[in-house]
Amino acid sequence: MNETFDLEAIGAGLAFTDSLSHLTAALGAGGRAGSAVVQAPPGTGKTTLVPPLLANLAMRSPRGEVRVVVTQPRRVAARAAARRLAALDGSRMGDRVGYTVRGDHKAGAGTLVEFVTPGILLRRLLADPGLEGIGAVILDEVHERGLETDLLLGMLAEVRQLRGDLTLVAMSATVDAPRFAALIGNHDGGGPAPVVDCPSALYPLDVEWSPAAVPRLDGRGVSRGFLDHVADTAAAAHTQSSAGTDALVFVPGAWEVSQVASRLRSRGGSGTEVLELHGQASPAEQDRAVSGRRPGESPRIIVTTDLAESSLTVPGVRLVIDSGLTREPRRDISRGMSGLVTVSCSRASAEQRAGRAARQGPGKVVRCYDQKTFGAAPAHVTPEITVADLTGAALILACWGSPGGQGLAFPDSPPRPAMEEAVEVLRELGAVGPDGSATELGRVLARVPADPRLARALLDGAAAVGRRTAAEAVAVVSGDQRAPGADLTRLLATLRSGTDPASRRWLDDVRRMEDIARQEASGAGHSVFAAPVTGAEAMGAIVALAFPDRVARRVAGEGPERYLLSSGTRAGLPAGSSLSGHEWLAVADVSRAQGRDAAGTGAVIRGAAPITSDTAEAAARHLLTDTVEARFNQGRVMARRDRRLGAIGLTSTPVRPSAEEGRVAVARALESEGLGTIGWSTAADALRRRLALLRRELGDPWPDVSEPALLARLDTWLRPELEALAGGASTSAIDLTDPLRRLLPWPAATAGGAGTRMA
Amino acid sequence: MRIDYPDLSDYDVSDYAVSHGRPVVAVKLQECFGWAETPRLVSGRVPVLFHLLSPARRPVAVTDDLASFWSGPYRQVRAEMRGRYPKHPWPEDPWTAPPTARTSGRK
Repeated sequence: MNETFDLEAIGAGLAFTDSLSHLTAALGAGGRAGSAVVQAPPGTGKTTLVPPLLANLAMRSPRGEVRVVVTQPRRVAARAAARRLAALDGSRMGDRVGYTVRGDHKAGAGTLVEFVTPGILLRRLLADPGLEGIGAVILDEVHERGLETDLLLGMLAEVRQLRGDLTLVAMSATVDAPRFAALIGNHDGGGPAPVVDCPSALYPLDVEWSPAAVPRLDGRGVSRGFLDHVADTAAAAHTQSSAGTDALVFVPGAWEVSQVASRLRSRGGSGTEVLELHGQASPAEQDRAVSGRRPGESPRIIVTTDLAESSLTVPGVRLVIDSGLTREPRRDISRGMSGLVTVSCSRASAEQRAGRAARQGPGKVVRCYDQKTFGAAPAHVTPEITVADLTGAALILACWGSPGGQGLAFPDSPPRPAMEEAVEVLRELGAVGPDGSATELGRVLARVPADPRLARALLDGAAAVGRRTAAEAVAVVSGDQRAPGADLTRLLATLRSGTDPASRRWLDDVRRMEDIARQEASGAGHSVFAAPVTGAEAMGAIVALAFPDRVARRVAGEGPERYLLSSGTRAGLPAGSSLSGHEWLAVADVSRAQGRDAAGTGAVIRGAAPITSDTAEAAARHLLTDTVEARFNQGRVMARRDRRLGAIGLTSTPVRPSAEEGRVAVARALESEGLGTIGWSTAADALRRRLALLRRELGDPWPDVSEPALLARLDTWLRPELEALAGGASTSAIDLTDPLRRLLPWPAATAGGAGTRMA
Repeated sequence: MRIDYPDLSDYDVSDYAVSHGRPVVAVKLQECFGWAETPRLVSGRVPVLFHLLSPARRPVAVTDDLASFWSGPYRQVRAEMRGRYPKHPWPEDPWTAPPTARTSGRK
């Protein structure tokens, strides 16, 4: 029998302690196992206290399914939450409390509370829809509206219909609980799940507005001038605040974090430590930032992305500097492109960020924008499900048995066009059948921790470049490391050398993917590439297999490098990229952008690898077209043979048109330009006018020689001439007089009319 | 096609037009001296419309009844044109003057 958690000891000093009894009552009210929504601001201790409470309740239940699984939207948050609870429980990490994130697993058979990322829980659900051994699931930070968390809400609500003894708790840091309560309520007419509130005393918060003199965004994203302003504002506010204050600076992304941090460091202030916190920082670095300052250490300025907004609690903070910007995904359906855009953060986010300063005492927030900008910002965060590429989500739903999400209720429905596009991609990959349900291959692809297109390339590419190399390439592209100068091959070299902090996680991904590729090798196909793919080109070959519509060819011309993707999209290459000069690239990542790198195309390549034209053609062979197009040009039929790879022209050579192609071209020219295409000689024109007069005065049998009438019966009067044209003759060799005579009504024409001689 | 009149037998067909439902001959006025009967086409159904041109090939009169033109409006036309084109023949009696495409000086 497990020992229960000592909630009193764990919750000492945490505001949520007072709400525990409410939550216990709420869960008990629903029958055997309940559901509830917990609504509590960050820093109240809900992430620390609710999991052990549910573990204690589960231990009392007779079924013995005691494990509590808690999702955290980010790896660093899952690790930090586990570490904190283990420390408060006084147990060793991985014993009673553990975590599992991609590439890092510290949990055992006896683990009672396991923190995981939503992606991990999704894959577990697919493997074991009954969640055997799990007594309760807690979805934390549902207000962030991450795509995977939204999927879990829909799928777990369905699991509870089958497993009445599964406790489900959704936790939100903002006041949007009713929306989630309706989703996870009891299905047998029990109404929405109860909401357990944690009114938290917020200490007084001093708000200061400090807009920059320069615009926040320019053509290239966040402007340098604005980042300098943020850094300088942070330094000044930190200097003014009482000694020993820790500060949080919110900027939209990892690049901005390092820019602001380095400016803060260069400004000196020897007594202050500047830390960086973002998803790509090494685990050690992340942990140091969230573990709080030890006695004797110098005060800190922590520059962070929205990671520290609600999912991570950075203790001791009394000063917040907010750029008011965030990065969100956007899907460009017309160009088949997903990308991150930098936008004003929602007012809800801004309140969350500000609130971080006043959890443990009076605090201050400096907003680097004005009140008008704040007022113009959206009220809530944009749900990821409404703007993201849904290919991966659609595969999960297909494997779950709900193609397109049918039958499931989500906080926001996935937009139909994006979902249809995603299902279509899956169909092309062979991941779903005609009815949208997952195929055997689809289930395999769902196990690969990568976009389904990359997963398919892993299996297909293994035959061409070897399992190990294919796995390495897919792990590079699906990882979240940014390629320097968009050069994926260079990123691969860095990760291989082991010097990058992300190498360990990458290596773990590689092994896992290699395993899956090995298991699926039984029915191994053969390489789609005619020639063996060399090592240097392996990365490009895999990327091209995954994204044949993004195989790209350099656009000739002066100025910055531009590429044309086979999908028809044009994109620039980052300035100074080591990829520049390559004729062909396999592009893994292209995003909307303005500014110099986009080179006027509206898009920039973020990740690519060089390939040969043969590889491009082999990988995108279904996009190859070979057409002869004959056109009527300058009085004769000319034909060109065009070989294309999607939108990319490969070769175009003049050829002799076939009779049929010539006929089509002549017919098309006549249709658009009429008989003027051939041209009326003086004699032909005069004859036609006379015939027109006769027709008008006498009617039948005189023929109608109007343009439409003539075009309608080309076969009866112009056939030999048209055949000649179709065969390549020039219009200059054709006089329409004789053909017109073929229309003359004999014998009426010989009789003529008095006063009219046809001579 | 040629208009049924001897002196126009070599007339350039490009100047012959069918427009607005009427065949038209555009021809210098001097070439029609003495011409009384308007030619008719299509078994006599359609009279030819004459655009009578000045020496500069501008229309000075439009008619499908040459006889009444010579006996009436010609006088007026002659009065206006004589001074402007003194080298061309503007006879008082158009009925007897020989049709010509040339100036009177070279005659």
